[in-house]
Amino acid sequence: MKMVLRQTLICVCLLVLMAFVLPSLGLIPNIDQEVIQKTSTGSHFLFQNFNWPQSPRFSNSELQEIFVSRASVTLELTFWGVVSILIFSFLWLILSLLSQKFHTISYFIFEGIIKIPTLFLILIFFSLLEVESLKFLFGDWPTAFWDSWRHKVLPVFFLMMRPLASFCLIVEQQIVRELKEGYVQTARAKGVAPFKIIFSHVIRNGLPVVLTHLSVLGSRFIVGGLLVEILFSIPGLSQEMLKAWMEGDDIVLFLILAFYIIAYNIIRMTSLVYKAPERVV
Amino acid sequence: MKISRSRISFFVISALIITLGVRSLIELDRSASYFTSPNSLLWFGAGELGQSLLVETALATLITLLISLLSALFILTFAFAIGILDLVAGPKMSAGVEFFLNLITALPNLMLYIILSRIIALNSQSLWLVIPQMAFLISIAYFGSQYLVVQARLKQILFKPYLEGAQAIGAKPIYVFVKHIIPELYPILKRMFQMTLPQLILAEGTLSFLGLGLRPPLVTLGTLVGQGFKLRPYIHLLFFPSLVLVILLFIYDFQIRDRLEKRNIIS
Repeated sequence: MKMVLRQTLICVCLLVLMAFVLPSLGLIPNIDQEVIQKTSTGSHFLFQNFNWPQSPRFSNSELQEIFVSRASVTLELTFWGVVSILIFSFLWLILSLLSQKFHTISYFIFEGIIKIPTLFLILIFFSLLEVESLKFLFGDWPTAFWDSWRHKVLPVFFLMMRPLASFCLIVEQQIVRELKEGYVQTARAKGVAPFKIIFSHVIRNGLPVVLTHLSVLGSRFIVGGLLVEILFSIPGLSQEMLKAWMEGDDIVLFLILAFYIIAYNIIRMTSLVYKAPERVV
Repeated sequence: MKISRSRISFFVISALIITLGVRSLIELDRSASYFTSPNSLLWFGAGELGQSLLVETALATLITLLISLLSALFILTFAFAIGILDLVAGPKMSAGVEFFLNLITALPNLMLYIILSRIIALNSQSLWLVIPQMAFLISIAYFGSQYLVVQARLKQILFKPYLEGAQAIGAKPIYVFVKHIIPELYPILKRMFQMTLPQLILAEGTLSFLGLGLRPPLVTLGTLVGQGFKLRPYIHLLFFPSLVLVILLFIYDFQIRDRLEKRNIIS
């Protein structure tokens, strides 16, 4: 945990260095020195000849407002991605335990999904699931439904579709492995209810691996959400980041990058919070 | 005569490549009014300026392959060079390499690429300057995990008894390196090359799609998909380049899987 924190801290320090110090020394190209001098807030008392550069496009208050609103959108997308992956994998597990046919068909679909990259999967299916093509069939439904379909359901669906396949396979593997353990058989022999065996023994013991995988997926959602945000034109941080990259606005760019890196590493660490129960052998 | 699945796939893929290649040569001089949909004259339809989309896609595929091949080569070279440096040089160098690796793993690949691309800007319009630049940036952003594999293998090789024996007999370091280390490392480097290539094609496609790669007059598959996405009503502009990219990835994936199956690694 300490190592990850140290890495994050070093990365953020480097970004700050790149955003504030290097442009003012003229070491990063594409930055207009005149713009920096015009918009700079004046010299600091520690560095008499040092001008703190400011974003050429936004004032500080504007930047703060934009950053907070857009970051919340990005985090919301990630949150719903993680929640829906948990719900769907749980549902899939129950259904596949109940019917073997469902299990084989879904396995076949998952294997196909894993092979195709997400971006191009989205692009191929985009025209099929677009609002206009579906309105042809369900045109009478209220506009609020179409808005939520276009801006909430579809992005989360495409964000979690490919990871869901791998996640379901891992969850199944863990649960099946735990079900074969000796303590489960002992509990069954003692006459404990199956529901209680699954929830108090199997899931608690299988959780660390599942949580670790989930935290890795969550950290990938933060970065992978970037593509989804652009494809579905969601007003998240990614669009602002790309705009800043195109226009050479390094302050905004590195601020957003720092946010992404911190969020990525914090979500990656969340699996360490859960302490696994001690096994009785 | 028994025809295997791999032989059929090889014939189908090569027939597809030859047909599209010859067709793109035929369509080289043809043009139509802008955004013409696919027809018998232009198989993939026409683009924004009335040019053949098939010719553009063929050119873009070549450039994408060139970038990903170059970046795979860069990754292997870096991994090999740093791995040797890490093991041969002292502990200070080793600590430095470890610090660098930690830094890379803390950053998502895409973010690392964005940071690097602010330092080395891809502004040039010359193809022969931009392709190596982009390959270099991609290779630095994506080489962290590959390096760990090479390092682990190098550590295994360097402490084998026959190397000590060769040194004890009086073999020169260059002789040991060429005769013993490179042949041992070659198979793993070859496999790594095969495995990373589809990843790098995808990485290049994604970066160019986002507009972080080559600029529009120079085309790669990613830029074509990006342009097609902006002009979505003309669906052929989006569909054909993305289809070519998916087929390209499938070919590599299939080839790797086939070879591994032959060696009974995957049953």
